[in-house]
Amino acid sequence: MNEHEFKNLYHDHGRNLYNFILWITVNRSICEDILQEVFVKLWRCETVPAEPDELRRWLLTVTRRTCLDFLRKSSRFARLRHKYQTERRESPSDPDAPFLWEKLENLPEMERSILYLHLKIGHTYREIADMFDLTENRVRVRAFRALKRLRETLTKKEL
Amino acid sequence: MNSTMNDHPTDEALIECALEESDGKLRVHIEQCPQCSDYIEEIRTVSRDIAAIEDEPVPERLATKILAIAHGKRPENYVMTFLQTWHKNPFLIGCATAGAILLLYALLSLHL
Repeated sequence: MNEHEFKNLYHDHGRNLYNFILWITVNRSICEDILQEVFVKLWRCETVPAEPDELRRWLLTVTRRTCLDFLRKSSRFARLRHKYQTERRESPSDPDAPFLWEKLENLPEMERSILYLHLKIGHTYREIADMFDLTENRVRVRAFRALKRLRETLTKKEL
Repeated sequence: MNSTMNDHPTDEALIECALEESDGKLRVHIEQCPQCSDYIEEIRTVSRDIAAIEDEPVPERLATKILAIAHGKRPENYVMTFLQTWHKNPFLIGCATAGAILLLYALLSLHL
């Protein structure tokens, strides 16, 4: 990969990956370190997939693994997470977004990741299953469980 | 699935119906059952709201740091290449020799 290709990859995928990390970690500070590490891995990698869809899945898989490694290692996580939540709630562009985000934060990481990949990026359950090393049915069950829980908590707010 | 008005489908079946295609019997039940039809609408609303959450831009300083990764040679390759080839460069051999002589001179002058 040359410098030009690397820059193109950053422009094509940087924002998606940044937001995916944000959804996994719920933490802006750690998110920056992780995105940087993902691109260092990409730059050093000798065998990056050439096919665009495969490349996107590869990047998302590497990103999630890097996030999980960071979260395991980081003892500062709880403190930074709290800081991030406060920042995010104080600057909402949509009045209801902070409330929905708060509910999303309470979901397990895997369910949040599945919702992001399925509802925001548009990956199928099959593709997510391949990325997460799960069965398609398991991914579907986790997505349904997350939506059911969100519906319950959000409809409680309206009552 | 047998879904009459008194026999509501499971939550999972309703969520599947909200997000994907549903079978004929289930569709008939939902059309006649306000409770199930509301449930489906709520799931669709939640899904739409999630999809509508705005993506944040990558902070400018982070973008600059990431794009700098690709400047020049790969960091690990650069170090490895240097370690493997420095002795082939006459200038570096000269520097290393001069450094060794200076170090030796400094050590000797301390002892004498």
